This record gives sequence, C-alpha cells and structure tokens, in this order.
Amino acid sequence: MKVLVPVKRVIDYNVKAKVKADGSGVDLANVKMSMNPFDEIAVEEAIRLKEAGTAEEVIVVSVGVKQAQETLRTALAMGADRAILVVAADDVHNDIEPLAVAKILKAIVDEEQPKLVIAGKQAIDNDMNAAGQMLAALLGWGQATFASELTLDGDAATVTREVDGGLQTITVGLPAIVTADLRLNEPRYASLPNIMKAKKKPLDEKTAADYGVDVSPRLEVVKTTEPPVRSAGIMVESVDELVSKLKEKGVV
Amino acid sequence: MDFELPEHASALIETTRKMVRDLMPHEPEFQKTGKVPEAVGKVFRDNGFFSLAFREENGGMGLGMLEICCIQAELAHLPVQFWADVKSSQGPQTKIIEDFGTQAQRQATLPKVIAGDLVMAFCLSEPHCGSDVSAIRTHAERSGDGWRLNGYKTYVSNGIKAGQAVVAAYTDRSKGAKDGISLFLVPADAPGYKLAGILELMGHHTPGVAELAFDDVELPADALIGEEGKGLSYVMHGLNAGRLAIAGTSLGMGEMALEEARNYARERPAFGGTLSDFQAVQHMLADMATEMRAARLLMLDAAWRYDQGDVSRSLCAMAKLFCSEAAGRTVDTALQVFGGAGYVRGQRVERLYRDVRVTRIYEGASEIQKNTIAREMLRD
Ligand SMILES: Cc1cc2nc3c(=O)[nH]c(=O)nc-3n(C[C@H](O)[C@H](O)[C@H](O)COP(=O)(O)OP(=O)(O)OC[C@H]3O[C@@H](n4cnc5c(N)ncnc54)[C@H](O)[C@@H]3O)c2cc1C
Ligand SMILES: Cc1cc2nc3c(=O)[nH]c(=O)nc-3n(C[C@H](O)[C@H](O)[C@H](O)COP(=O)(O)OP(=O)(O)OC[C@H]3O[C@@H](n4cnc5c(N)ncnc54)[C@H](O)[C@@H]3O)c2cc1C
Repeated sequence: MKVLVPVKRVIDYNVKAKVKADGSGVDLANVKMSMNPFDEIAVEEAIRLKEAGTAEEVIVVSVGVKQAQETLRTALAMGADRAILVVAADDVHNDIEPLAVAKILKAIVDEEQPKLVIAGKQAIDNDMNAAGQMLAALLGWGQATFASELTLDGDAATVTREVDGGLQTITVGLPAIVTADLRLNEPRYASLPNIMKAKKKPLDEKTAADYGVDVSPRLEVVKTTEPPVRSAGIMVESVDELVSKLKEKGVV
Repeated sequence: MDFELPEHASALIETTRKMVRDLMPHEPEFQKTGKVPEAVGKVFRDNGFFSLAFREENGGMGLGMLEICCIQAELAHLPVQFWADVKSSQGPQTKIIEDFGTQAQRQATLPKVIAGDLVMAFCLSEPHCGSDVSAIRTHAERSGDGWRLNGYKTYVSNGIKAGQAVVAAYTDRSKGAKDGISLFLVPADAPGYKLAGILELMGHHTPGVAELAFDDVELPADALIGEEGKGLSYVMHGLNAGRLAIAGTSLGMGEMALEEARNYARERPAFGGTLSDFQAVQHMLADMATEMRAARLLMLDAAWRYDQGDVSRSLCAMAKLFCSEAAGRTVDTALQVFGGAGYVRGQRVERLYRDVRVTRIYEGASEIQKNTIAREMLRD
C-alpha cells in the first residue's frame, strides 16, 4: 500500500509574523520557513505505518515555490521514500489556494494510486482547514479529519477524531483521506545521518501546468492587519482596590 | 561568490537547533542537581551525533569541518556537560585512530564510539607542561614484543569515564619531540592505568578533568598507533580540526550570550523605558553582533578551506584565536547587560561566562595560536 502525504512550507511557528507595509499579507521575505507542524505529524504517521509493515511506500508532495524542496528533503530525512515537488509559484507571497492544491493532489493521486492520503488538518499560515476535505470531495473518497488516533485493518481505517466537546471514533473504507490533529503522534527529528541519506532519495520536479491545473487565485485578500496591541495595565495598591476595579469593569 | 551554506548543511543545523531547543528546558534541573538528564544522551545517540566526524567506510557520516563546526556552534548553546561526550567523539583521539590506527585499533574503538557506548581520552598535557609538548616526561620502553609505559597526565577531558586513552609518550628522547614521541592506545582496564585525581573546574566539565597515572603499564606491540616516532605529527594533524571545533564551541557560546542580552535588553525596564532604549546598551549589542559575525565568517572560511584540502595551520589558528577571544568579550559584555542578574547562579550568561573562559586556553592557548600564525607569516 502506498501512502501519500502532502506537506506545505510555511512560516516557522517560532517566528513572530509581521504584516507587510501595504497590508497585502504577512511579510515572508528572508523569514525562516519550515514544514507545517501538522504535516510533520502526518509524515510521522505515514512512516510509522511503513515501519509497522502496513505501508510499502510513503510519497510526499509539496505544491508551492521551488524552495519547498527543502521541506520535502526534511520529510525524506524523516523517512519518506520519494518526493514530488510541484512548482506553482515563484514568489513565497503567492500562496496557492486550497482548491488548486486539492486539484493538483487529485491528479497525483490518480497517477500514484495510494490507498491512503494523510494530510495535516490545516496549515498554520492561513488556517484554511480545507485542502484535505476538498481533495476527498474531488476524489469521492471518505474522509476522517482531525485524527488523534489511526488504526488500519484490511480495507478500513478506524480513526479517533477530535471534535468539539470530545472524541468521536469512526470507521472509513479505504481509499480514504485522514487529516492529522496535534495529538496523533509526536514527530521524530530528521536525524543527522538520515539528512545525508535523503540527498540521494528521488525528488521529481513538476509544474502545475503538468497537471493542467490553473492556480490563479479565486479569493481576494482584502486586508491583513496585526492583532491589536495589548494596552498597558495598571498597578493596584491592594486586593480591595483590585476587586473594586474589577467590579467597575463589570468582570466580576 | 556565494556565501550560502550548502542545503544539507542548513538542514543539519536546523535539526540540531530544534533538538537544542527541546533539550534546553532540562537546564534548570541540571543546574540544580549537576546531573545530565538521561534524555539528553538519548537524543544524541538516536540522531547520529556520535558519527559526524567518521568516514562512511567506518560507519560515520563523513561530514566535513564546515558542517561539524556549525553543528558544534548550535550544541554549544547547551551546558557543556550535555555534549561533552559528543565532542570527545570528534576529538584528536578518535581522528588519530581513524587516520593512523590499525584496522584492529579502529575496530576496537570506532563502532563503540559511534554507538555512544565508548568515550575516549586524549592524554598529552602533563603537570609541568601543556603548551610545551616537547617537555613531556611520559615514556615507553620496549618490553618483550611490546612496550612498558610510565608517566603522569593531567587535564584529561572525559578521563574519569574513558574506556580507552590515546597517550603521548617518548619512545626515543634522543631524537627530540619531532621524531621521538609516539602514541599508544591504552585501555582503561590495563593493569597500572590509574585514575590518580580529579581537578574540579570553574566551569565546563562536571565533575572535572582527570589526572591519569601510568605505572609500568605493559602494552602489546599493536598498541602503538601508526609509526614509532611520528606521534607529534599525528597530534598536530588532529589539532587543526580540533582548533576549528573550538572555534565552533566558543562562537556558539558567544552567539547564545548575544541572543540572551538582546532579549533581556528589550524587556528589562530602566528609567521609564527598557535597557535597549539607551545608546550605551545599543552600542554594546552592536559590538557583540559585529564581532560574532566576523568570528562566524572566519570560522566558515577556515573550515571550508580545510574541507577543500587547503589545510592551513594559520587559518585554523586564526579561527580558534578570534572566535574564542571575541566570544570571551561578548559573553562578558552580555553579563554586563544583565547587571546583577547576570552574576546569579542559574542565569544562562553566568554559566556561559564560566564555560567560555577555557576556550582561550585548551587546544592551544591564544598565545600559542599567535605563535603559530606569526611563524607561518615569517617563514621563508
Ligand atoms: C578544561 C580543560 C580540558 C583539557 N583537556 C585536555 C585533554 O583532554 N588532553 C590534554 O592533553 N590536555 C587537555 N587540557 C590541557 C590544555 O591543552 C592545556 O591547558 C593548554 O595546552 C595550556 O597548557 P598549560 O595549561 O600547561 O599552560 P602553560 O603551557 O603553562 O601556559 C601558561 C600560559 O603561558 C602562555 N605561554 C606558554 N608558552 C608560551 C610561549 N612560548 N609564548 C607565549 N606564551 C606562552 C600560555 O599561552 C598560557 O597563557 C585541558 C585543559 C583544560 C583547562
Ligand atoms: C554580588 C552583588 C551584591 C549586591 N549587593 C547589594 C546590596 O547589598 N544592596 C543593594 O541594594 N543592591 C545590591 N546589589 C545590586 C547592585 O547594586 C545592582 O546589581 C546594580 O546597581 C546594577 O543594577 P541592576 O542589576 O538592576 O542592573 P540594571 O540597572 O538593570 O542595568 C543593567 C545594565 O544596563 C546598564 N544601564 C542601566 N541603565 C542605563 C542607562 N541609563 N544608560 C546606560 N546603561 C544603562 C547598566 O550599566 C548595566 O550594565 C548587589 C549586586 C550584586 C551582583
């Protein structure tokens, strides 16, 4: 069984994002970029399936700028077998929308015929939470999103989902799409020797045009703004004063 | 001209940085107990850190000094005790075995070092001489088919738990240091090998460096490393790489201190603003940043050339000299930015202040680096 894992190159989660002066988006020039953390979890899950003998091959795919090849190399170093880079943009600020990504992924799924796609539940840059679901719709496959546990048994996957207010366990027939939530696993590091070995693993480079997908944006970003700055606090002299201030504000 | 690191080197640095960030929360516990948490060694073992320097045919990663120096600079953010074992796997002792040892010597040591199961010691310095290697008194005479070793070594890093030691000894004093010193591979369980003392240090190693005594240690003929009388040249061969690695160590300490000082200056309230509002403090930060940048570039240049086969004693010495001196100044200034808080135990700059000091001393003191640089300049 083949497992396909889409991975996205996003602004590193430790970087303090700054909005571009013209408000058109987050400034990504010379900013540290890394693999979307949820995608790391997805890669880890796929590798574990391979280590358990359930999966034979793990293929990672990234759609975006050419530099996404670094992200793919990280996935290869973690243990994926081969990678497909779909160059669809030449500027990091040009984010490919979920529908276009899903269409490209569908074309790759048609070609590669994986029985399982494991994706991150969302990318931490735009928090769209859409590509996995759209891919399921385009393929007509079942989907199990927000997975915190995944067990494969023959032609079915049992998935525990993190839903509002608790956990839900469902079974989906394969082929299917699973999207990974935070607690699915703790991804391993790309070990130093595996980073060197990953240099020799195959990485195919394609373009969006190869799959006949139009990636031009359909959404318009109206404005991007920084979150409001927290205004300065005040010092109080005593507990009584604190309580009375809180009452004044109507919070107690 | 392209100043970018190769992609794989950036990836190695990146993953190391991640591990360092995840291990850093162990520091307070370590500061309290003095014990290195188990998790630390496991991360390094599981992720190949003991194999960096060895060639692929010996089970290593075959990395160059460029990668090793950069990785070392990241590791140096952590307390020294966390990575001291990793460092010993890249020291002159293992390099000498790999490059000049017999197949049997390599087999007896390298696989265990790579697995993280064997720490090796390098024994050159003696109580009455460090810089002046030619003055060592340790000596070995032929004894039957083998050798009988006698002497006393000091400042032995990792000497307390070392399983094997590379020991420098005169085999023929009449030939002088250049042709009279030989190296021996000595197992710690050889009769006559004694842990004679422990020197507690201002920083760096816990519980300290070892003094080792060799009293009539009988060694088989094949304990000799490489050729008889070539010891000093083997040591010099290992020292160039060692010096580059210390450049990395000190650079990493300085860069960490700079980062700490910058963050602190931006947060510490002072006179109605923060420390970073004052030009006096801003200039401190600017000086530190400039020196650390210069140090990094000097290290990268020397390491890159080393990897191209352009091994220059002088460039290795310059990198070691400048990185360690600049890092010393940077850590000192960082502590100044912290004010009283920087002088308090448990504070990261306080730890760095104690740890960075020795980088100007070991693997050739600064004065010795200058002697080397000048000698190369004035030669013919
Ligand atoms: C933490 C630590 C770990 C160590 N680990 C090891 C180890 O594992 N194995 C090992 O063999 N050694 C080790 N050493 C020893 C280290 O290599 C020596 O300390 C170093 O070489 C300096 O020698 P010394 O201490 O004898 O100083 P000395 O040689 O006595 O020098 C004292 C001072 O005089 C200066 N000086 C000496 N000669 C000259 C000269 N010709 N011109 C100008 N100035 C000069 C020196 O630069 C220095 O400042 C370690 C030392 C420390 C502190
Ligand atoms: C061992 C020890 C004993 C002490 N004993 C006592 C004691 O008995 N009683 C007591 O009251 N205090 C004591 N202190 C506190 C000591 O007086 C303060 O540490 C010192 O005044 C510096 O203040 P700070 O640590 O808050 O540093 P900060 O005021 O935060 O200053 C940090 C750094 O910023 C610089 N800086 C600050 N403001 C400016 C500015 N406007 N322009 C340029 N640079 C600036 C400082 O020079 C310093 O380098 C002690 C401290 C120590 C370490």
